[in-house]
Amino acid sequence: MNEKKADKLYRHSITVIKENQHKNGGFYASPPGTRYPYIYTRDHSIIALGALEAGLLKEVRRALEFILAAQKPSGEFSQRYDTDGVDTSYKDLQIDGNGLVLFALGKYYEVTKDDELCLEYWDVVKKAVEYILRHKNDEIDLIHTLNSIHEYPAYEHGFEIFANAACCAGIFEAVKIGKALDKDVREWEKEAKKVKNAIMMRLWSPRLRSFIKNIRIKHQNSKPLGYDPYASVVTDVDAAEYAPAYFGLIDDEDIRVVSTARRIHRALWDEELGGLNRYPEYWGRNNGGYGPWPHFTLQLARHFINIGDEDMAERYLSWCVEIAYEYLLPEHISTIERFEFWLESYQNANILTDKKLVMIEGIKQHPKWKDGFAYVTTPLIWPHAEYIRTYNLWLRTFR
Amino acid sequence: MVKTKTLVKVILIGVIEMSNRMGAQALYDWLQAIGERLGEMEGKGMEGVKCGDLHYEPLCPLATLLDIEHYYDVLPKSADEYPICKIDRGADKPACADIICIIHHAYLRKRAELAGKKFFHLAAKSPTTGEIVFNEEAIKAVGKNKDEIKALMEEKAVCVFMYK
Repeated sequence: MNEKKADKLYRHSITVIKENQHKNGGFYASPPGTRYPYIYTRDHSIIALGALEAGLLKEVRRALEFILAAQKPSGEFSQRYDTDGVDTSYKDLQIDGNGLVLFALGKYYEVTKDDELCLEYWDVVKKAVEYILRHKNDEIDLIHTLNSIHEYPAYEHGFEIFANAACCAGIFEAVKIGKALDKDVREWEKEAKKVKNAIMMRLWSPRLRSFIKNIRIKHQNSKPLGYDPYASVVTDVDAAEYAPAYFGLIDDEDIRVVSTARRIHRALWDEELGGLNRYPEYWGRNNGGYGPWPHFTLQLARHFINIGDEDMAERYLSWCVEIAYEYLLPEHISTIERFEFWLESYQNANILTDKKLVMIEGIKQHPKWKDGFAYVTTPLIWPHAEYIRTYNLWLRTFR
Repeated sequence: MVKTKTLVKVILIGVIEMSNRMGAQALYDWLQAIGERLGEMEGKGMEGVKCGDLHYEPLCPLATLLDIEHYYDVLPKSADEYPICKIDRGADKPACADIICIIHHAYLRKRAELAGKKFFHLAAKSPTTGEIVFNEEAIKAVGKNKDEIKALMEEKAVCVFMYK
């Protein structure tokens, strides 16, 4: 790996994160004037984790204050907000957002022991946990969601692994904070343990030796679940199946994580471009052309670092360093041919929206287009946060 | 068998029953109250796709959920008049008198109010009749050109509104 470049990308990632925090505390998902100039709860929380890793404690506090204050009356955190914390969602419930906010707050608290912030927002924490638990199905002990990390209900509506891991880990973090603040959180702990057990049992396939994506169920309260109109299981490989380890519910060295990561690598490593795809191409929602995503590549890089596989860790990490254009990371990259194939399919199906036309313009105007690459949404801030977290871990482990 | 869309029929029957028992004004007030309560539950928020200082909906989220056109067919013919309420005109009123638009307007207005903004419903395409209706008073109040809104409605919107 070009370590000089890797180091420069680390420094630049910190700058990118700082520059993309609005004065009100929200982290843009992508800079103003680009594709996602809003504060998306999921991206915002993960960017806060990246900022925390970089030691930007004041920035993280502001980010947490922003998002905690933006909670909806029901206890839900929206898909996205404007810079004033006003809900501007256009998608249905994404309950992993609740888990991620609690998870980020817990990690911040672990570092700072900021009792003042947690006490001030304790009611918000309480409502966030209760909101998650209202979506728990007691027959299966898993959390029901309509969307998750890919915002793709066709594969995520039901009891999905990323949402469940995020919510479960989020409640555990709330429990830790609650205990430190002398609150009675025994019931939450009991419920979180149930969800964790259910993830390990129901979202694990011994035959595939892998965590699986989703138990597809339409209605949270279908009882018995077997009669639900969607009742089925999605066992397709998805980078999100690494979520139980990503959220610390299980160690990276655990054989279940090792074999899940192996399956993800075999199925989703892009042989033509390098890097990790997020899910199989045939799922069909490949905006801008099918191709690898830096932030999923970096998540799995951390797995390889954690199990001491230096070669694989470097293969994953260095790919991100190499594809960064002027030290900026895109959402994902693709080839011109794949881009054209995607465009044709969306045009023929008459599902090309205005927002996609803006994205297409951005892809074609990117300097890498002339080299034969489609760079989709550059920069996306999320991969910069993942890069900070991964590069630091790599340095600590191997240098 | 109770089907997924049975609740749609329940809503329409509820509209008819309310109008029969309590009259048109009560129906309007009832629909508005529903919209406002929904808005309160959702909290502060702004919706729709941004287009300059205008916002629009490319499809009506409520009409999509209700499939009202389809289920309207299964109701008795005497229900014809119910989806359209008699409403007062005004800058703060819904552009269209369709029952869905009344609920949606009240919901959007309440969410805007909670966000410290005023909401103006400038134009809508009735989910029931397909007719495009403009709210001249609202358009005047926000100082917009009707042609701009008309173009948006003809090109890609079923509902155009503005926050101030």
